[in-house]
Order: sequence, then structure tokens, then C-alpha cells
Amino acid sequence: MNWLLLAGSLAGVLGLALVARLLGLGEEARIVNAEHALAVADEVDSGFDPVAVAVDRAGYAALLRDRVGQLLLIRAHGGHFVGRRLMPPVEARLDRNQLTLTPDDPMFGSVTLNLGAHAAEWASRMRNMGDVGTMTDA
Amino acid sequence: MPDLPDPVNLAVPAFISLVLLEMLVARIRGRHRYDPKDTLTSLALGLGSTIAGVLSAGAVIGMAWWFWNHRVFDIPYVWWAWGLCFVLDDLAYYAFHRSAHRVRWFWASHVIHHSSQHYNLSTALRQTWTGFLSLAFIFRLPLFLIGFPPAMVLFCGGINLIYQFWIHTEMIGRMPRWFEAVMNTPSHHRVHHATNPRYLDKNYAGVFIVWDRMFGSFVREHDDDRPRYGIVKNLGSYNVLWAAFHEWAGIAKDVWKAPGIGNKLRYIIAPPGWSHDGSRDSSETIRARWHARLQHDG
Repeated sequence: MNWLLLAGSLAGVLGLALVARLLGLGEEARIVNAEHALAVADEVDSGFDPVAVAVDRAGYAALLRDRVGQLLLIRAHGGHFVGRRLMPPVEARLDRNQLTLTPDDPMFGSVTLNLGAHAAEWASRMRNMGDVGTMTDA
Repeated sequence: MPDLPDPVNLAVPAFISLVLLEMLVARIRGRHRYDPKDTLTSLALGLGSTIAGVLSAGAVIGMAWWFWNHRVFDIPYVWWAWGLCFVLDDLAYYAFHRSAHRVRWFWASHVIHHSSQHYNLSTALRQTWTGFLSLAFIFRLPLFLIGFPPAMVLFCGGINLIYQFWIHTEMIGRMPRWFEAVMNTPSHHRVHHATNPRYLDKNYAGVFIVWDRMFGSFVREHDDDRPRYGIVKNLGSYNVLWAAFHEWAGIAKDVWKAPGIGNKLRYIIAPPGWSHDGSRDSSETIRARWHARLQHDG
């Protein structure tokens, strides 16, 4: 292996990423409203048919529920969105207006949604449906 | 026997220059087309792929020579052999690429390339680390057995890869109709990278789109159905190691948990998204659901 070539390639990789940052490339996606959340959910998981939606106040994420109580969590990932169905038991934490959910996918990460007064409603519904495995109220 | 260079190595300065140019255009025409973190992940995967390729080159070349030493024909380094080799190598690429989307074992290696939700020239360099593990090279072995010299085949393969670099862009709309009819283009390849139900598992071509037209895997890009890029279940992470190995981890987990030997085997070789209990989505179920919705709404 040509170590000089390898070092040059690594420098090239880091250099191009730095140029992308210096040019101000990239954008942060945000969920504008409930209708937008529904559209995003359909793109992320076309088999999910939501009947209720809660959007984080900053637009970073949204939580959706279908007729049988299944939950879909969507969040921003750079300029796009990703989603995960929350399989019971769901790990959740309620802290006043903020609901933090942790999908069963460690690389997806926990997501905190500021849902205002609705946070407690969603947490309560999840608890009543037995969806929640671990629920802590701060 | 001619001493042939590796064309991909020679093309690297052009790759870097064109990525830079595309970034500059994106600065003016749409900053959303790039994401610095995504670009870093893509390029790091590309670098790792190059290293992995160097590490496995000996075994691959050894196999190539073994098959060539058992060749049916003696094919010389003449102009018609180069042309025929290029075309047949592209056909072999189509076969490999279609398998890479329809057989989970091959998909586990190829998914890396599709795992970005962006579509730009840095995506072209987002390449697998596990090509040797997935045995992707086997699709070229028939060419050596026919009699094409390994150096010729590998050179044609390199040209094929270089061709595919420029089609990874949204900066080019459509090429002239005659070109779109025969060649793989940015438009055709945007379809290939898209997760829209209409576009899933389509347009497997390397250089010539004619293979998709011949074998029923062609779909044109629709202006009213803009491509959404990535994979059905997007990673949501910029972690390079997760991007490189996540599907292998998924196979291992599924095989461990699957009931019965038959299901364990299917979790390895069935199309991505297959599940023994029907709980997951495959490209067929996604497309069927979309068709049903169109009929309901239409």
C-alpha cells in the first residue's frame, strides 16, 4: 500500500468536507405543521396510516399514532427526515412539556419533543395502552 | 500483454475537481444538495472501500487468472475484443447490480452506496467495504472463462466505474433523447437511487440502460414524482461504521432469531425486506400498496 497516497486521500476527504462546511452547504429540515408531518410520515413509512399527530414546537420531530395505537416517530436528519415505529414496550420520559422517546435502534438515538400541554396527554395515552415499558416523569 | 494502468486511480483528480465544482454550483443553486456531515461520511466510505479493495485485490486477481487459465477461447488485445469486453462486462455489471438489490446477502454490501439521502457526486464515491465478503466479484468470472484477459476485463470495469461517477448528480436534467434511450444518465440513475414506490428496484444499468429496457427493469423519471433518495429505512446516522456494516448486523440478528433453517436461509438470500411473518416491507409490498392507493384515489 502506498502510504503517501493514503495520506493524500485522507487529506482530500477531510478537505472536501471542510469546503462543504465553509461554503455553508446543507440545511436543517423542520416540520412546519401537522399536515407537513403527515406528508413526511407517508414518505418515511408508507404503510403507516396515522389518525393523530403531535409536532415538536421547534419542528424538529413529530409523533404520530394510527388507529390501533401504533406509534411512528419522525425526526430531522440534516436536510431530510427519518422515522422509526416505536415497538412496545416504549422507553419514554416525560418532563413537563417535553416527551423523550427512545426507539429500539441505538443508532437512531433518543428524540425529545416539546409538545406543550399535549406531552402529558400523549404520555398518558401511551401508558394506558400499555405501550410504555419504562416511563419516568421528571 | 499491455501494461494497463488503473483508470480509476487516474480519474481521482477529476473526481475531486468535479465534486468541488458541484459544491460551488450548489452554493448558488441550492445549498440543500449537500450536507457536510453526509459528504464526510460518503467520502470516508469511499476511502475505506479503496483500502478494502487493495486488501482483497490479490485474491480477486488470483481467481481471475485461475479462471482465465481454463478459458474456452484465446481472445487477443484487438479493437473488437475491447468493445465486446466492455459490453459484456457491462452486462455482467447489470447482473451483479440486479442481484445486489434482490438478494439480501449482496444487498448487505451494496446498501452502503444507497444509504445517503442526498444525491450528488460525493454519493458516487460512497462505496462498500465488504464487496469481497459478499462475493460480488463472481459475476465477472464468466468473462475470464470465456477468454477475456483479466487485465482487459479489469480495465473495462474501471472505465465502467468512471462512467458512473458523473451520473450521480441532480445538476443535470435530461440528456438528448437518443442518449437517454441507450445510455445510463443522471435522470435514469436518480430513479435507481430513489425510494419512491414507482422507482424502487429499477434501472440497474452501469453504462448502457438498454439492459433495463431488455429485462423489464426500466422506469423513466417522472417530473411529477420527484425522487426521494436513500433506503426504505434510512439510517438517521452519519456513523461510518454503522453505514458500512448495519445490514450485515441485521442479517446476523434475523438469522439468530429466525425459526427454522429455511427461514434462516431466507433471511440471507431472499429480497431485502422479506420476513418470515410478513411484518416488514419489501419493494413489492410498497409498490403494491402504492398501486392500490392510486386505484382508490383515481
